[in-house]
Amino acid sequence: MRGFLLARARQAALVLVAVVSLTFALAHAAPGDPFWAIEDPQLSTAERDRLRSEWGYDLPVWKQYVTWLGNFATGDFGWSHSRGQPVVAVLRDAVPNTLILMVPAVLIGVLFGVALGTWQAARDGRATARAADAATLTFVSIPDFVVALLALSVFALQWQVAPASGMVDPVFHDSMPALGRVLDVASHLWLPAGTLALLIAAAVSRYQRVAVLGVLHELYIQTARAKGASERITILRHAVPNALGPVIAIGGLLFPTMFAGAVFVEKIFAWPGMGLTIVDAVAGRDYALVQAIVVTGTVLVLVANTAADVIASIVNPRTRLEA
Amino acid sequence: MRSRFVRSAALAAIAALAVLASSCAVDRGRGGTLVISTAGDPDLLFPPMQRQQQAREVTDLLFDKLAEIGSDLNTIGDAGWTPRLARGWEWSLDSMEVTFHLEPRARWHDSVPVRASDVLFAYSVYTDPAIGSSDGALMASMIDSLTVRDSVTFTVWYGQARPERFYSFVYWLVPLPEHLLGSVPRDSLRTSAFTRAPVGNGPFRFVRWEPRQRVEVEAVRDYYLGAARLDRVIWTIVPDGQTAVQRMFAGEADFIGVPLSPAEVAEISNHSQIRSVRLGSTQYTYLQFNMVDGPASRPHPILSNRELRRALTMAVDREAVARNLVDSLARVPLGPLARVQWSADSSLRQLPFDRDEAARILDSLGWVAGRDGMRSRGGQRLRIGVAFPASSSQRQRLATLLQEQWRAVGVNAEIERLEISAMMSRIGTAQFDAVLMTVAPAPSPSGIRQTWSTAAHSMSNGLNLGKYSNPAIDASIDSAVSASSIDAARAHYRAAYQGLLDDAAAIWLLEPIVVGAVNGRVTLPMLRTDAWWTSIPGWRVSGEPPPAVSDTAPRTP
Amino acid sequence: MRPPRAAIVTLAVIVLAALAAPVITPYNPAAQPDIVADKNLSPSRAHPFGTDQYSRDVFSRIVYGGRTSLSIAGLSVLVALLIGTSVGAVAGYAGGRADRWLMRGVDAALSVPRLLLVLVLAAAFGQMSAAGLVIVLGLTGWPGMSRIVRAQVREVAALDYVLAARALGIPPLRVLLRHVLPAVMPQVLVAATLGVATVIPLEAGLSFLGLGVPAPVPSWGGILLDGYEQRLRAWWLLVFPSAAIVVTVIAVNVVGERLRESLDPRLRPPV
Repeated sequence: MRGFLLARARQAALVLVAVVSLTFALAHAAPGDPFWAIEDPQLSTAERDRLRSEWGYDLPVWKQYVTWLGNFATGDFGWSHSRGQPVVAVLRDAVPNTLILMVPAVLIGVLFGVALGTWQAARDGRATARAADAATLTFVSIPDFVVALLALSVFALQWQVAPASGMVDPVFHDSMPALGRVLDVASHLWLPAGTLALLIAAAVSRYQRVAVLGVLHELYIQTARAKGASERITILRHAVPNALGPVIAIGGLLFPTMFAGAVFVEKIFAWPGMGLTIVDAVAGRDYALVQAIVVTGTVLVLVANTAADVIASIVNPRTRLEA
Repeated sequence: MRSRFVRSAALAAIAALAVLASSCAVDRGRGGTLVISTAGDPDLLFPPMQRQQQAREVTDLLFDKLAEIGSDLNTIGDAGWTPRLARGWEWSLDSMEVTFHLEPRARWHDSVPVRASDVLFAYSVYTDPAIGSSDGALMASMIDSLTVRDSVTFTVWYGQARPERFYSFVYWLVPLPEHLLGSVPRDSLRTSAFTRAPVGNGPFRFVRWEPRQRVEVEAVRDYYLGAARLDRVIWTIVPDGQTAVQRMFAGEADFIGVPLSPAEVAEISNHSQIRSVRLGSTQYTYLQFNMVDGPASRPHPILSNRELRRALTMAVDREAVARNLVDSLARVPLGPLARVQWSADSSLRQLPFDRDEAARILDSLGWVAGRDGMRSRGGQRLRIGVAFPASSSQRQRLATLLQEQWRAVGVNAEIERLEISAMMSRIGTAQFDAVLMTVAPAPSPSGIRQTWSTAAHSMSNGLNLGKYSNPAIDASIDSAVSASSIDAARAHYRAAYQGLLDDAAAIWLLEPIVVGAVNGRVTLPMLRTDAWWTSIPGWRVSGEPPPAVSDTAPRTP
Repeated sequence: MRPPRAAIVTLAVIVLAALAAPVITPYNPAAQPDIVADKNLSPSRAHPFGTDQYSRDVFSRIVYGGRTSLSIAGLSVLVALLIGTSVGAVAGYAGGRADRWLMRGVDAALSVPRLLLVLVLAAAFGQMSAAGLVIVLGLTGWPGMSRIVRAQVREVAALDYVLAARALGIPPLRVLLRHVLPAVMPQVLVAATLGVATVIPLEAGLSFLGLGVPAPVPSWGGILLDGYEQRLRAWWLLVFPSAAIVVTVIAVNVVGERLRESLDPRLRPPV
């Protein structure tokens, strides 16, 4: 296990270096000055000079590159001119908010998706399963932001059972007691997280269904059936663990997609997380902030992938953890 | 199976929690708290350097000026001004000096008394070129010096007998706490903690500012002019008018300070508790033509031709464009001025909407229509780029409308939606054709110097982005600004305005009637036309929470 | 396996409509005939899908928008296909170190959410033309394609006839092109089809964020953006482009998934 985690950490570091290098190359290939942020009039001359030297503004390109890598490694992500703050400060607020949104959504979405996909595979061919198949196909085919718009229009605007935007009550949140604050966030959370969970569940269920169907045809399942075990036990004891392996692996590939879904959900529900921040940052050409969010997003995906692989190995001891 | 039971129990628990939380959120008694929906974050809370109106909304409550302008917005002389930090003032016999006496009871929010040295300190900040305050530059141009007589008295010495010399000092100068800011190096002022958590001396004190979420201030109990009737004021940021209306219906806001569309105004009229409110505004939008091309300032190959600009103006149905954007709330500007300014004159001669005439002029200039209907001359297409900041959706719409209006006469317009940095660099290097500008001028019509005079080319805050230059109009503006009587000034301003209209220096497109909304439990006094928020200390909120029910009986807005 | 007739017919109709756009649309999609009176009209005989806030006919804009969205999706998948097939084929065929390093690169690329990569490019280059979008979407899509190609190539490369060809000394490039790639094509086509189904919502999402094709050119996501701004006034600006996207993507998904099922032996009913 430890060897696996170390190998993964090393891989992650390489991926991050590649991402930072790519964004560095882009910044210099694109028209305009990548250091436009340094000319931000909100900064004093002293601060501008400090940023210039910190980021190697006047150095030859390769020296700049090394400086960038070093800065990123030490967690210095530069100055966000659209926010008037250091990038780290922006991330400090945004990243936890995204986690608050994504973690419940992913957990519920995956659980629900696995359950639904398994149920569909078990009842393969029957009318109910076909109807469910059509439903998930429709959901997967609707763009994320359209689903979010629908959810917003129906639940928040039309029926008014959820607040129209934001993460907390704009007026009273700070004067609430601790439990009240938690409930306040929860009341703003359920609709965006539910929407995201629904999107994830639809996608996961389609993979799960295919995986379970595939596994159901395996010989050992036939053996279990021949042994006389009931259908349900067959599925739960044998099919699901074996199918979960590939599903969790696919889940690993789905994490980036889930992240993209979160970006649109945050934008439409005005949830102040990384997704909303990066959309605003792109609109404001705040390259430092965009870059930092891409790096952070990649880190999250890598961490989630590793966690998923660990879980997969626990669920199905036959899945070996390969580095 | 057990796992299934656990799963459904968990889901049920989450659902129950969510419903509980929603119901918690609805039940609120707000008492003396006023919640205002505003369009965006302030950039800074520091009067000499802030630029957004949202910042002014907050700082005008946190900081007192020496006196407040009267509701007629008369900028000539000192009639109608209400004393604030200055209890009174006297003029010398030649009216070139004025001595102010400060209110001895005035205190900064940290209990230190407000002194004349604070005024002197603020004056030095405003007029410091490193700070780059445009209002400070205006002050410095009129004032010879400011001397402190004692802790509550100071004298201002003017260099010239300009009619607006009182206004240009008192309307713009906000005294600042020297004991807090005196030791801060000038070039670190902008990023100092003070600009994000200011200490003022006004009827409200700063409580907190959560970027992009809200700003909160609370009433000062022992304010020397009497405490405000409200306990707290909170500005919450909404992305657009529709969200603001939804928040009001949900009981989450009391006042909407962002312009509402006619559809939203109609929605509000159906609600018994909420009514629409005319928010005075000086804002207007125009399309400024670039007269030069590139940093070498050669004449613009297309737009430096007066007849062509006139044709472009005549090709646009300005009434229809304004009506498409804001229906009944639309007005076409009279020219480079706001109707509430005292120099406004509705008899100004406008260029008519006449597509045939426009086509005739373009033909006579040699711009011939090709097979696709688009004009070109000597191989060069008649192409005009219309630039605007990416953040403005209204100007995006304007640009789309203009594009189609011009297409009808064979002019090819290209929409250039630019981020601020790109826009600033394109304007700085004069590499643009036309830009959609929205300005909200100050009460004094002398602001036209900033927008259309030749001198504005070199002003640090100059808005003459197209480098328009006309000596006759410069002369009219100078005469207007230094005229000693309102009538004489009006005549000179009219000449300047007419000249700009005849020259088609720009196409003046939209001067919307700005309508906000207020919850019935808020009692409003009269709102000042240039700054509705200045009357907030006199607003009252009754204690009962608003009912959430809306009735269907239509109400006139 | 029963061919998905409904889906194929739907796709055919959509593509034909897009190609025949100038013929079947009653109005010019950019024309604003009467900006005061015809603004935001609900669906009627004259305007079956209503008009938008500039009095433009929505039906015409959706048909032309289909042209934009479909061609961008198709071309970008083509770009991804070309690059991804090359990389995947080399990795799968060559094996060994080249394979490992190439796939490491691909895995790294796949670790970054595609939308974020596109956003970084948008931040660097600003407003992109249609061609720019095709390149950006294609460049962010090839890693996924290359994985599939590599897996298929490895399978086929282990087959007897390929090994025989190699033993006979036929140059590797010819083996690849003559024997391996043709065998791999069906699965690759499946991946390309499903890729189109992914890109259409992505391009719509970008247009919705204001980062898609610039203004006068209609696109489904752009109409949705107008719809979002007018959301309480003009439901037809949201419903019709959504329906267009959903129907197209479902049809593409159905075709792609059926293709995949027909090629995957595991999913055939047990003998």
